[in-house]
Parts: sequence; C-alpha cells; structure tokens
Amino acid sequence: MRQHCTSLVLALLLGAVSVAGGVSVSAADVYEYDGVHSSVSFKARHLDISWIHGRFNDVSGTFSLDRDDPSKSTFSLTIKADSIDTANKARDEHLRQPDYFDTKQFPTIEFRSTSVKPIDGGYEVTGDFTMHGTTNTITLVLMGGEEHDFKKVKRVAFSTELALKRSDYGFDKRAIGPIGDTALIMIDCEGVRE
Amino acid sequence: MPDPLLYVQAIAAAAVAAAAIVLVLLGLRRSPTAAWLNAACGIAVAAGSMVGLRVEDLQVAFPPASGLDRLLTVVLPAALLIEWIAASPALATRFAWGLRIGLILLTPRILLHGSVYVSDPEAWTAWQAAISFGVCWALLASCWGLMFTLGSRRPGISIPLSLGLAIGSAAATVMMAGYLKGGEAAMPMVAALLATAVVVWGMARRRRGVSGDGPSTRTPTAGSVLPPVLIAVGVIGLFGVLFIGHFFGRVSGGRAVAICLAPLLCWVTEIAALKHQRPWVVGTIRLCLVAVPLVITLALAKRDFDRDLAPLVVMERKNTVQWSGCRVCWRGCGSPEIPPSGVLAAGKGR
Repeated sequence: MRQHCTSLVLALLLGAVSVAGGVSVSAADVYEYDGVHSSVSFKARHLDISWIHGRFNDVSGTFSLDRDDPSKSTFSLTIKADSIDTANKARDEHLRQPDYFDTKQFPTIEFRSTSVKPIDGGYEVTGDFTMHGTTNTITLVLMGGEEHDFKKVKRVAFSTELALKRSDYGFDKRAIGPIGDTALIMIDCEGVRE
Repeated sequence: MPDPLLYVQAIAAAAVAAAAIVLVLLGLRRSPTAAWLNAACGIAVAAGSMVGLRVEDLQVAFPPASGLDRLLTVVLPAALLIEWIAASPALATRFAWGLRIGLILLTPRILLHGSVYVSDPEAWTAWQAAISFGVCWALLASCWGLMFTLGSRRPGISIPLSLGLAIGSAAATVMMAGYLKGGEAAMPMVAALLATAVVVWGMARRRRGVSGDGPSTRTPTAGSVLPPVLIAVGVIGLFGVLFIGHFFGRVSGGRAVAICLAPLLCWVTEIAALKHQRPWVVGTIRLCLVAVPLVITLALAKRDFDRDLAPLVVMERKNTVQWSGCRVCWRGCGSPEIPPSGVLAAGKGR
C-alpha cells in the first residue's frame, strides 16, 4: 500500500513537471522551412548596367516564434551553395568553383539568429551570417509573422531583403570583376507546423 | 578576369627575386656544399614565389581556409623544410625518405581538410575515399621517387625545366577549367623554380670550368647540379595544383593524371640508344617528350573552355567593346544612338 502511495506521488510530481515543461515549450511555436512555398533569390549588377538574377534551390531551416516573449524567438536558415541556379548551366558550374562560392570547401551558407526584437509588422533579427567560410553579424528586418491555419497546417511567412558585399566574405577581388561587389538577396520563407 | 599583363609582371618579379637570392646566397661561399646549395635553392624558390604572389595581389588566408591556402601555407613549406632537413649530411637517407613518405601520405588529406570530401559522408563513400587517396599516394610517390632517382642518376637542367613545363600546363588547364586563382598561384612558383634552376646550372657550369670536372661530395658541380629541393617543390607544386584543380575545380581526373605523369617521360632517355648521347641532346629529347602529352591536354582544355566558358566571356566582351563602336547595330556604323532594350536584354555574359 505504502509502495503504491509513493508511486502515485511520484507519478503526480512527474506529471506536474512535464506539464510545466510543456507550457514553456508550447510558448514558442516551432516552424519548419517550407521549400515549396519559399525562395532565396539574389541579383547582382553586371557591368553596372544590368542585373543578373539567380536563386538557391536547396534551402532548409527552422524558426521558433515566442509570441509572449519575442526576444526568445530564434531563426535559422541553411542554404546549400551547390544549389545555385542562374538559368545558365555553365555559369552555375563556374560559380560553384573556388573563385566564387567554392562549394566543395564551403558547402553551406548559414544564418543563425542571436537576438530578436519585435518591430511594427515583423521582427528585427540580428545574427551570424556565414558564407564562403566567413562569418559576419548582420541584421535582418523580417516583415510578416501572422499565422494562417490552412487545412490544419499552421503557416507563418516572412520576407526580407538585404544587401551583402561579396568582398566582406572573402571572395577574391579579381573574381568580382564585371559582377558588382554588392549582391541583393531576397528571402521569402514560409514556415509550417502541424 | 584574367590579367595577362599582371601575370607577366608577377612571373618576372618572381624570377628576378629567385635568381638574385640564389646568386647572393651561393656567392657567399666560395665552394658551397650540397646542403648549402639545397638550402639556398629552397630559400630562393620560396622567396621568389612569395614576391610573385605579392605582385599578383593574390589573397592567401591564414589560417588557411581553402585547398589553395593549405597548398601554399602548409604543404609547400613542409616540402621545403623536409628537403632542408634531408640535405643535412648527418642525416640517414632512410630518415629523409621517411619524412618524404610522411608528406606524401598527408598531402591529400591536408588539401581536402574541411571540405565535403572529408566532412560529408554523402559526398564520398569509404570506397571512393580509399580509391582516391590510394591513387593520389601512388601518383605522388611514383612521380617524386622516379624524378628524384633520375635526378641522382643523370641530373640536368632538363628535369626542373620538365617540371616547370608541367606546372605551367597544369596552371593553364586549371585556369581554362574556370579556376582562375588556382592557376594564377602556380605561375610565380614556375618562374621561381625555373630561374633558380637556370642560375644554379649556370653557376655550376662556370665553377666546373674553374675547378675541373671531378665530382665531389662537398662541392657541387655540373655532375651534381640538381638540388633535390627543386624536384621536391616541382613535384609537390605540380601535384598540388592539379589536385585542387580536380577536387575543387573542374579539371578531369584523366587530364590531371596525364599532366602529373608527363615529366616521367624524361626516363625514356635512359634507354641504351639515348643514354650516351650528349647532355644537350638528352635534355632536348626529354623536353620534347614531356611536351607531347602536355600539348595534347592543353588542346583538350582549350576545346572545353571554348565550349563551356568562352561564351560567357565573349558575350561580355561584346557588351563592353562593341557598344563603344556602334550602339545600334554593333557593326561599327558609328551611330551614337542608344541600343534598343532588346539588345540589352540579349547580353548573356556573366
């Protein structure tokens, strides 16, 4: 009898702990990057007269949104550099080489948030952006964040644009040449959770 | 974009620096020992290469981040150090070869460090890794061992010249495959290697004229004019440029192996019919034999460049050069008008 009582108390305690833990977990909703409805594209100046457009086809990531305490939210994105696509196969092959992305040495481009601040209509996310083996701190202004429930799947979307200088990420100066140093990156990502 | 004028300047600077340094260092001693000669050549090649890279303004990251960085900052200095140690008279030959074999075994792993080949199991299976490493070790060991043996048996300026030719071809092949920086890095190395070899050869010939023909263990003459460091730098440099060109760039495996093995054709002159020819005849035959596979691989590399990469560059050139002529028809009619938007949209240059 005494043994049964002890077991009951233990079970109740464990249940209380797990419920408490569950509350803290559920405060931040975790979304997976939906590759079907998202895109990471870029454009760069060519000879300072026109734009070259491209995109990365293999992107993954997660973000957790804490609506109560947005500073606890986190964002991460991983782009496979090998998936670069500028609608020209020869150019894509060239861009994968060490003069540009060096995808065999630096296979991924990554962003990991370090701080999140709510702003009107979205979040200001500061984090470490790693490309071509070089990590710099950047700040993204993510617009969006409203949740949409579609067929029992919850979706949240964000959009942002940023300008990066390739020279800040260790790209060879001579490889910059006719293509402008600055690349504009457009990220439209949709996160899903069951 | 390739800058031929810059390459010429870098090559000239590397050659002049290497020649000047080896002249000064060898001039410091009236009768330099083999160890001194080896050390002087190593210093000259290293300094000449650094001067050339500086003129090219080639970025080399330290700590090394890419395969090329590791080749220039780890593997080649290690080869120089090993040859400097190996030249010590007190050191056993076996120990020297132990160091060389250690470098042969480590070089592929060092060059691939941090890349998908060693960090991502999906990129390479265990079998692929084993085969690739095995082929690389065999290539490097056979090339180094055979060139070293030939250099000991029948030294001559043709051996470093053959290695220089092969590295130059490797650099051009790597560049035509789209890895510009990989080829650019090799140019000062070739210039420094060749300049050092020519100066040492010239000085040895002059000294031989003064001191006689008798070979000596202490004083190098034309009979022992090929310092092992030149073979080491040549072979490791050749292998390294081709290795990064293949694994990080787009140089095909067959082409890389052909260029790497080309200097071994120098061994053909060891057959009885050619063995006793005059040195200049032997040297010329060696260079001609080595040049044959190199010319073929260069022609194939040029064909691939014209097919794959030249269209990007050609369109770019059309955009920049022809617009300065006619801005409407691109045929030099002299019209100053602005091209229609369709013409702008047609540019496919990268």
